[in-house]
Amino acid sequence: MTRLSDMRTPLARAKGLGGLPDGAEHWTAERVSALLLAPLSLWGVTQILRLAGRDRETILAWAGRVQNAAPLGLLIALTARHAQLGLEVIASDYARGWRRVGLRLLIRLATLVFVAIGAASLARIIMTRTPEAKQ
Amino acid sequence: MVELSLPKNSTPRPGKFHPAPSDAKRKAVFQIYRWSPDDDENPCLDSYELDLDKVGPMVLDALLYIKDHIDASLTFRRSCREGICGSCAMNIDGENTLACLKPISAIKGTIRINPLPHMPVVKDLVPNLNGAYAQLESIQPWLKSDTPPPPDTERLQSIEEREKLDGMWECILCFCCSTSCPSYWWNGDRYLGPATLLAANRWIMDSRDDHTGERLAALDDSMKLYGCRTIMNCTQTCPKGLNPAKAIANIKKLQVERE
Repeated sequence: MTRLSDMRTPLARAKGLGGLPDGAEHWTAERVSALLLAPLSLWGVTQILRLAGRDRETILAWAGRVQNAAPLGLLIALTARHAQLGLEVIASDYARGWRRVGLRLLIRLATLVFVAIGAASLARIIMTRTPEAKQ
Repeated sequence: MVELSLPKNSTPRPGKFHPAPSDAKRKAVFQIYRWSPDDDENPCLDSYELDLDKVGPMVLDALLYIKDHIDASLTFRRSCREGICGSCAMNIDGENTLACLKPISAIKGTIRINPLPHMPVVKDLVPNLNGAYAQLESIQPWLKSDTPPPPDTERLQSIEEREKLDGMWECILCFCCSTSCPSYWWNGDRYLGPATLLAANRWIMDSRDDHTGERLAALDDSMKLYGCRTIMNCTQTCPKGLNPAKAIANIKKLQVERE
């Protein structure tokens, strides 16, 4: 870390480029998303186990109902957000400088793609749901 | 940043063995990390077998005995020999602690002594703590008040307010906690470390200080404070029995309250 050509004072080095002032927000978002995901994931796993082995039409009809589509959408969005926050923490632990900036961009882009695919799929299921599911 | 390979000249090699006198009855071997900046050699682990009947009860007594009677070149920091100055912080038997507070009898088998982990070594058991001191300085560990003190008395504090500083003012800045923290090993240039954050919390909680908000704002940083991953090595290793992890949790709690 300390190279001979680095003649800054230890205090200047300790202060560095200054902070990234999103620490508290990031930390809180991590915990709030985790708290919300606990019951939602439990619900998701239960539903998957319940629907396992059913035919495609039944599952699509299930996902097309509002009371199922709403928590499913929330589950997709929160999983993406929570994964993004967690991966960003890993990036800041293991990379720095421009590599960290690049990794953060990559993580955010991947999150966006994940959410876009999830949202598009859910929207398509709701729009093309079968008539009996509408009742 | 995490480094998966060791830098040049850092793998220790076996060193010299100094046997105890033949008439020694109670013996123990002290394996000590040795490195000198004067040559281009790797560090070595010298072993000193001591007659425990001639040595005081603490690990520091053994180090002083070695320096006085066997090898005057052995280099370490020490001063008060009673756990107040924090100079003799080192890694003994795999745990960061003060040599003056660690009884020899508490360790079974060979007593392995290394400098505080992951700090640049000046010589033998002496680590370079300039970075850690600079981080402490960066949080301005002194009373900051825009209110002038009363003309004829000291700044007053209630008994309850004073009690909030307990468990923090006792820190002797030996940096056993910071150098036991994997987060500090990896990102010690950006994460402040438990010792400095405990000091920060001591001033945040001081009722006489009126810069609490500025102090919290300066710490709201993804690395300075939130580099803490709640590993809790700091609390486990503190030779004074303090709880830096709790102090860090308190700062995080106040940050949320501030949002």
